[in-house]
Amino acid sequence: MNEEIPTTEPSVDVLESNEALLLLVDLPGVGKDQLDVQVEGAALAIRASRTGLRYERSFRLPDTIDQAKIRVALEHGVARIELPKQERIPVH
Amino acid sequence: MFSASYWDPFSGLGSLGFRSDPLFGELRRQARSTRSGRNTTHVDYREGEREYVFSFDTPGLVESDIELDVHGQVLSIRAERKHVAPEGFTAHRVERPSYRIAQSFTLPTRVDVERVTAQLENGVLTVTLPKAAEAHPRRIEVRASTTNPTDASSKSSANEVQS
Repeated sequence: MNEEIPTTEPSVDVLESNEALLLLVDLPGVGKDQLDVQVEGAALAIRASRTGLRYERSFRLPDTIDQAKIRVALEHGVARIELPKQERIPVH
Repeated sequence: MFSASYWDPFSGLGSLGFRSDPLFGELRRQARSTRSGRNTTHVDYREGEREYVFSFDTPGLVESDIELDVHGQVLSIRAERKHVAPEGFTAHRVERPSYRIAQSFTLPTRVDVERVTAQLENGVLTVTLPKAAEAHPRRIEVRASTTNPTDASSKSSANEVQS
């Protein structure tokens, strides 16, 4: 049954500040329980579903990202995935 | 001759191939834009026995971004999402479109304007328009023609006398 549900790639904006990368993902119709964001090796996998449609997208993570600090929020059908950069230890 | 630098392990997969994009750069972007399904605002419409239901994909919009009107049998919607980069961030990849919805829909029957509802949930706006009572489906009872109508009328008049 699952095989018959069409899958599409959601639209994503990739932004960067000094401290973090930020992904904004359009996921209309998706609730918190239908969103799954996982680190798989060096990739960040985004999977979500709504009635009659699945969203799938994966990004290669730069190794400057602190994978333990990734945070995901979902608001008004847009996922906001924050990927903080690793803190540099200053060398004296 | 096999050239490692041009080998793409995912090139043989169709749109269901789950592969990783680079976060930076526009690699493969052109191929992708023809594949992705819902880059424009999507609307679903269905008609029930007693109502019409519209669902608009409105990711990123809040209540105040949306204007809805019902005049007679016409539903009108106006909404707009402008692209605004969050402060302090620079954009590497911008796929999420700005969009504007400006559409009118003429309904097949009149609706009960007072009972129209609109709900925004998870980036989907659902507008429910109950049909006016005159447009409700009505079952017409099929009566067999009575062979002896005098029986029924005499019974009811007997009841009236008793009470």
